[in-house]
Order: sequence, then C-alpha cells, then structure tokens
Amino acid sequence: MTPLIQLTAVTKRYDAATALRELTFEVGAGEAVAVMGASGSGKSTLLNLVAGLDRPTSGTVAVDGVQVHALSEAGAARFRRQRIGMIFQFFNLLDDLTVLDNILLPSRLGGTPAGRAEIRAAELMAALRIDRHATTYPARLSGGERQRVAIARALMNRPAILLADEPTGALDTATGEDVLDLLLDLNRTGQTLILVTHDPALAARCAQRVVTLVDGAVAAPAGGVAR
Amino acid sequence: MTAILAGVSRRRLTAVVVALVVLASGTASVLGLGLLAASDAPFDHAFAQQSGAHAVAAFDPSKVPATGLAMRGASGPFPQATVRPTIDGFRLSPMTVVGRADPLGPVDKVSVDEGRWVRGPGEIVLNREFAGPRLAGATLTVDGRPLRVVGVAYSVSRTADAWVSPQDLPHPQSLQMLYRFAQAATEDQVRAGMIAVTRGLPTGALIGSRSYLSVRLSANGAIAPIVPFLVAFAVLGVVMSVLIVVNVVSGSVVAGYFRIGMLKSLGFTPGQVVAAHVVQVLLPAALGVTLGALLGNLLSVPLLEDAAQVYGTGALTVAPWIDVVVPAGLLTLVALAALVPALRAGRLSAIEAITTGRAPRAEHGRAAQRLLGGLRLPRAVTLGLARPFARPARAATMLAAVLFGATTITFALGLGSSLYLIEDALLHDRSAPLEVAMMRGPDAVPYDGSLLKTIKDQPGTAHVVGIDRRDVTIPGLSGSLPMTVFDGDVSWTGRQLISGRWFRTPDEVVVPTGLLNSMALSVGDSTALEQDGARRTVHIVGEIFETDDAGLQVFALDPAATATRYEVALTPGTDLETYRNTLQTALQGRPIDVSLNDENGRRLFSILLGMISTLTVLLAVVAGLGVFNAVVLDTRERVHDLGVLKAIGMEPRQTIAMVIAGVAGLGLLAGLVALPAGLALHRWILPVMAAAAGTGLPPGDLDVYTWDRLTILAASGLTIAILGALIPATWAARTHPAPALRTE
Ligand SMILES: Nc1ncnc2c1ncn2[C@@H]1O[C@H](COP(=O)(O)OP(=O)(O)OP(=O)(O)O)[C@@H](O)[C@H]1O
Ligand SMILES: [Mg+2]
Repeated sequence: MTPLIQLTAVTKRYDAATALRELTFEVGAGEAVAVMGASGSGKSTLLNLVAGLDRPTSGTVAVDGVQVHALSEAGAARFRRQRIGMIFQFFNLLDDLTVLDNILLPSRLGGTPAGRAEIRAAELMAALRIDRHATTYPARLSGGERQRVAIARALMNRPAILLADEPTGALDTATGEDVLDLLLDLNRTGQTLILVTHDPALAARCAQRVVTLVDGAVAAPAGGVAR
Repeated sequence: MTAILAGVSRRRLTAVVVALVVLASGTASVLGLGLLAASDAPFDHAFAQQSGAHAVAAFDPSKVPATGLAMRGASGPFPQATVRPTIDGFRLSPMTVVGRADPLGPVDKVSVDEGRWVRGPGEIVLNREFAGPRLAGATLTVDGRPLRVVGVAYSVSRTADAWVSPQDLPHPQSLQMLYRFAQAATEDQVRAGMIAVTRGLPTGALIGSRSYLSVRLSANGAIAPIVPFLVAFAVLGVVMSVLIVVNVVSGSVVAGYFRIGMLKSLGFTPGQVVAAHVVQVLLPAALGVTLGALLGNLLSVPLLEDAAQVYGTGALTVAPWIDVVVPAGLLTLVALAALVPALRAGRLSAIEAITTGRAPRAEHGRAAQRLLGGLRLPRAVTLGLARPFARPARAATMLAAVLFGATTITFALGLGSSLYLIEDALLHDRSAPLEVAMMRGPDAVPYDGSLLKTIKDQPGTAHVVGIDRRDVTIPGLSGSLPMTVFDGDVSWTGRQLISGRWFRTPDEVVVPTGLLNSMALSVGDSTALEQDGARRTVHIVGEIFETDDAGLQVFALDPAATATRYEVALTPGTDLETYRNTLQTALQGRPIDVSLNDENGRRLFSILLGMISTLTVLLAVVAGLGVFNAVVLDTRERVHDLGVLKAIGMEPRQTIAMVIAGVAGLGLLAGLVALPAGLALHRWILPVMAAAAGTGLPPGDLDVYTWDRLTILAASGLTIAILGALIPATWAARTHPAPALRTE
C-alpha cells in the first residue's frame, strides 16, 4: 500500500541555514507519528512542507496522491483547505472573529453551503465541549479552550491529515493532557496525525512511531510501524 | 531577527511612499504656482522684458526725411508698408510689413521664436500671430516678388505682422518710429509723450500713432476671464497636496509607535525618539521634493510654452521663487506633520506606545464582523469589509485621502466641462466657424447684397447672419462703446445669455454684465443710446455673456443693417476647408476675406485643460499613494492573521479580494461623499471666479454634471482605492505565512 504521506530526498535550505537534508519520510493512512528533535532541527519545516506552506529546495513531497511540491500557490491553498488541518502552539485564532466564525472559516473560504457548514461546526463544538462559547471571542477563552477551538477549525473540512506543531506547548500539564487525549481519540477513529513535540513522554504516549530529527535528518527510526 | 528585518523594510517602504507623495505634491505645486505666477499680468511682464513701445507712430516719408526722425532712446525709423501677399495663388489678408535689419534695439526687442531673423533681401519673418502652420517655410509673393519665410518672431507691442530687410522696402508708404516715454501709465501721458517727440516736425508729418494701452487692454481682455479659474484650480491643487502629505506623514509616524515603544524600552530619551522619527520622514521627503520640483519644472515647459503664445509674451519659465518656496514649504509641512504625532509618542510610556502601535481595536472590528457576517458574501470579502472598523484612525486617514482625490476629480471634470461651454460662448467658433468679411480700405466695395446671396447659395450653408459694428455713446458713460448690430437671429451663433432673452425688435438690446454693473442697470430697464448725434431709448431685454472690452458693449438687432461681415454656420457633415475654398473661389477677385474663426482662444482652453488634467492625475496619484501607504501599514501589521488564513487554506486571490474589500467600502463611501462636495465646490467657485472677472455666467454652463458623468464620478473613489490597494494586496497574497505563524 502506498503511504499517505511520502517525502523523498527532501532538502530545504534557507539563506543561512539548511533546515532539512535529504530527508526521506513516510506516513501511512491512519498512522500517528511523533516528530521530535532539538530546537532548530527542522520539525516545523517538515510540517510546512507537508502542508504546502513551503516548497522543498529539492526532493518531492506527495500527500494523498498529490504532488504537493509542484502545486501553485492557489493549488496549495485548496489542497490545505481540503486535506490538511493544522494546529499550532499559539493557537493562531483570529481575534476579531467569534469562536463559531473561526471554526467556520475553512468551510466559508471553500464555499461550503452555510447550512451544512453550521451543522458540522455545531457537531465539532459539541464534541470538543466548546459549544457554549460559540459566540465568545477567543481572547476570553482559556488556553485549553482556545486550542480546542483551533482543533475544531482544523477538523472543519474533514481533512485526511492533522498536523500539530507543539499543540500542548503553551498549555499547563493537565490541559495539555486533555488536548492530547482529544488528538488520540481522533487518531483512533482513523485520523492520520503528525505531532511535533519536545516531550518524549508525550511522544511515547500518543504515537505509534517516533521520528527524531537531528540537523534536518532522521536520526533514529524508532518504534517501527505498529499494527 | 525576522521581526527586526520586517521593521526595517517597513520603514524603508514608508520612506518610499513619503518620498513619492511629496514628489507628486511637489510637482503639482510647482505646476500650479508656476502657471499662476505666469498668469499674473503676463502682458506687463513681457512688455517690460521686450522694452515694449509705449507709442507706435507712422510718419509720411514725403514730409519728413528718415534722418529727421531718428532720436536717442527710440527705435526706427523703419520703412513700413501695407501689402497683400499671395501664397499659392491665394490672397492673404492685408499685412503690415516693416523693414528692420535688427530685431533688437532700444525699443521693441522682438523675440525670434523659430528660425532666424532676416539677413538680406528675399526673406521675411512672420509675427507669430500671423504665422499659421501653412506658412512655415513657405514662400510669399508680394508685388510679384518672392519672399521666403525664414523665421517666426513676436513683438508684444505688435509693431508689425511681418518683417523684411529694409532693402525690400525701398519705397515705403510710411516710416515707423517706436517710442518709450518716462511717463506712460495713462493715455494722456502717452499723448503728451507723442507731442514732445513730434515737436518741431512739419505739420502732417505724423500720419498716426497708437498707444500700447489699447494693445494691453485687448491682450488682458482675452485672458482675464480665464485666469481666475486657473487660480482656483492651482490653489485647490496645492491645498489638496498639502492635506494628503500631512495625512500620509502623520499616518506613517503613528504606525511607528510600536517601534517608538521598543526604542524607549532600550533607553532612548523622548527627545531622541522624536528627532529620530522626524528625521526618518524628512530625509525621504527632501529627496521627493527635489525630484518633484524638477519634474514640475519639466512638465511646465510645454504648458508655459503654450501659455506664452496665448498670453502674447516671450518664453515663460517657472519663477525662481517657486522653486524655493515649494520645497521649503513642503518640507516644513512634512516636519510639522511628523512632529505632532512624534511628540505625542515621545510622551507615551514605552508600554503605552507598544500597545497603541500594535493592538487594533478588536472590539470595533468584532461588531462589524458580526453585522457583515450575516451578509451572503464570500468570507474573504466580509473579512476585508470589516477591517476599517478595527483601525478607525487609519481608515479615516484613508477616507480623507480618497475623498480629496475624488473631490478633485469631480471638480476638475466639472470645471473642464464648464470651461468648454464658456469658451464656446465667448469664441462662438464652433457654432459659427466661418467669417466672411468685407475689406475696408481703398479697394473696399459698397455692399450690394450679392455677397449674401453667394453665401446662401453655396451648398452646406446652414445659417448666415450679417453683422455691423457701430460706435454709440450712453449718456452718463464716458467715451463711446461698440455696438454690434445683427440683421437677424443670432441664437445659433453660440453666444449665450446669462439672463433675459434675445432682442426681437430694433428697440431691444442685450448687454454684457460689465455694462449693467457700471451703469447700475438690470435686465428690464431702459436706457438712452446716442448714435451719430441721434438719441433714442432702448430696452434691455437680456444679459449677454461677453467679456471683450470689459463688457462695455451693446448688442442690437437691425434687419436693415448694412453688414460688414457675416458669420456662417455649416450644415452637419460639411467639410470646413472645402467649403471655405469653394466660397473663396466663388468670391475671387472681390475684396472679401473668408476666414476661419481665430484659433488662439482655443489654445488657451487647451492649456487650461492640460493643466487641469495634469494636476488632476497628480492629485489622484497622491490620493492613491495615501491608500497604498495605509494598506501597506495595515497588511504588515496583520501579517500574522494573513499567515493563519493562508494556513487554513485562503488562496492568493482570496487574500487579494480581502485586502481590496478592506478599502472598497471606504472608496465607495469617499466617492459618494466627494460627489456632492465636488459639485458644491463647482457651483460655488465658478460664479465667484466669474464675478471676479466682472461677469456673470450663463446658468447652462454650470449644468455639466449629467447622469452618466455622475455615475462614472461616483466610482472614482472606488477606483482610486482599488488601484492604491492593488499592489500591497498582491504583496500580502505573496507573503510567506510560515515565519508569521511562529510569532505571537
Ligand atoms: N523562514 C525561514 N528563513 C530562514 N531560516 C529559517 C526559516 N524557517 C526556519 N529557518 C531555519 O531552519 C531551521 C529549522 O527551523 P524549524 O522552525 O523547522 O525548527 P524547529 O525544529 O521547528 O525548531 P523549534 O523546536 O524551535 O520550533 C532553523 O535553523 C531555522 O532558523
Ligand atoms: Mg518549530
């Protein structure tokens, strides 16, 4: 079976630094992979390449049959909207939109009929226990609540892949656990997940496989593919 | 690292925008003021420059020898004759030719515009007023002798229609003398001067003399009604430039508050912070204003060249004081515009400055988002539309810039259209393009009615009216005034009434505003009129729009009048030149002149139009730059939100749509407000300016805002806003989201 995500010999160079070197990396459908590594080792860069937010200097990125590295800007945006959900350390919600509007954003950008989108958003908010905050603004929410809004937004268009860049980094331990449980639940229902984290315990707990990056290359393929 | 880099490039872009805005404003100001200064008493300036002749006199060579005329401080005597040259078999109108070896001299230093002065026999230099495009390089035949046109020159004193070498006029009809007097402000002083210089000459030696004051009157009369409009627009241009410069500069400084806060937290004193910001704006402004002044001088060359021709002056240049005042003024303005917000920033604490500089008014934005979210519009558009509410101060700045620009466009279009109608009324060359005049002088023939028949019989003739000019006096008004008498309907000639109606009987007259004002009369009154000693009473039934002779004229109807010239209108589709040539051929051999209405007035109009459109474009550009600046600041500030939106799948064109939607609402609003503002300005300024020129305006000349024009104008604000936002919008669509997402 071809993997859902396939990076082949990917190098990403910036003016000053080389973020990734000849990286080859794959993720199967339904897998949960943790990416670890020191600060600056290229973890965020890896996620950005998968999401089509950035383009490799050389090598190829294929996601769900799409040659991501070859997409146009507009094509990459549509690709993200349809297949990728992203979650960040600092939530990255829009302050001047309500929780509901933040969650609806990806579907509105894609032109999903409003009625259907609202039903989906209501389901997600209920599942993530943020439904009573629908008309609240993000600034009023706690960190954990904000991250749940961000997760709801990421899931809005039923993406094939969820990319989480240190989703618990800005949360206290208990709240972080909470968010992590959520992601694990999602993975259990078949959601492919790449999780970037610094915390080996978190990585071990939620991922079937842990990949460690050192200076932009895979250091120790650990765990192997379970199942 | 990236934050600092972003900061630096943001400042650099702001500097570029400030430089561009100041450049465009500087150009507009130099242009406006340059033309303004040139329009201030252009005749007097040119007259002084050429040491114009206070009196032009003609002497009889049989009564006084040339040697008896020469005197210190005067030019001449020059041989002079009136000739009728032909060109390619066509007879031209009579021409005063003066034999003059040297264009300079103590009096009437003739300026050679094109080609060169005559060097010997067989050459002729035409006065600019006489030289048409058909005559350049041509050969004229005078009394069977060929004369090649070698140059075009101009004499403010209008001492000749053409100049030749003195050898070409061995038997002059008269001798021309050009005098300057110590005292020449009034007709009496000029007359006294003439008496002094002719003392001791044999009686009858002086054939006649002309004072420069009459030339001055007609020169000033031609431009007087136009200058006030020019002034109005130039002033408007300068004011708008100033407003937008203030707007952009202060906006840029406010946008730098965040950095001000950072500098303070690094230990800068308030004084250093203020100085740093003022200097940061002043440096690009100095560059902009230098280039702007340069560009203004360059752009004004063709405009002033045309103006010089119409004003009848030598070459005009931008007055040197303008090149000093405009840069100095603009820089002072920029410094002040930067100083006020910078001082405020200097007083803010570091934290206050950081938060003021950074935090948009989220709560305003939210209310707008809620309202707009209900609209069934694409999300990207509603996101953009709500944006101005999050940054009300910046939105207001942008609104003001677009408002100024759109108001200028609205006013300029109205002014241009009104001027077109005004010129039509004053020149009536479009409605009655052809003039058929009987020659005066020795070979004049008595009027016999066959001329009218010839004109009427010619295919293509739509209307003809015969015109005679008589001198009348009105008791109570000193001197005589010209009365233009028509032998029939004149409503088709393009002349316009300000109020009342046209005459229907010989007892009724229409008069210009000037006469009504100076006699304290109004339409409906009666007045006495004396002609050839006979007095009669006439009723003033209308106020005609006419500015020649300061409006001291009378227009009347007399079906039995003996016409000395005819104005002719052609049926649509008739070619003017062909018609003219056919008529000329039909009239061959008779002392009758078929001429096109003078083009000089049209040129004046085209200068004005050139200046109005140049200034309008400049001001629209400046307004667009105002938008550009605001959008750049805004998208830089929102780089984080833009990154988030991209990460969740906003396409580049959606980003562009969002940014443009953010200014479109303001643009539309500004355009809609600018419409009544421009209309009101037009309604207010034009009559005021006309009154300053001593005339009323035909009401129809103000009704220029038709519905189709209004529709286009309503979109002008939107257009400025969109064009201003387009470039930063594409930049926003291209910015890389990844770095933005890492910061909080
Ligand atoms: N836009 C960029 N321009 C220049 N260099 C960059 C850019 N983005 C990343 N880098 C560099 O690439 C390398 C990898 O960065 P990346 O953000 O992927 O690291 P990371 O593993 O996510 O680190 P952290 O754990 O601190 O988030 C670093 O050296 C970084 O400085
Ligand atoms: Mg990272």
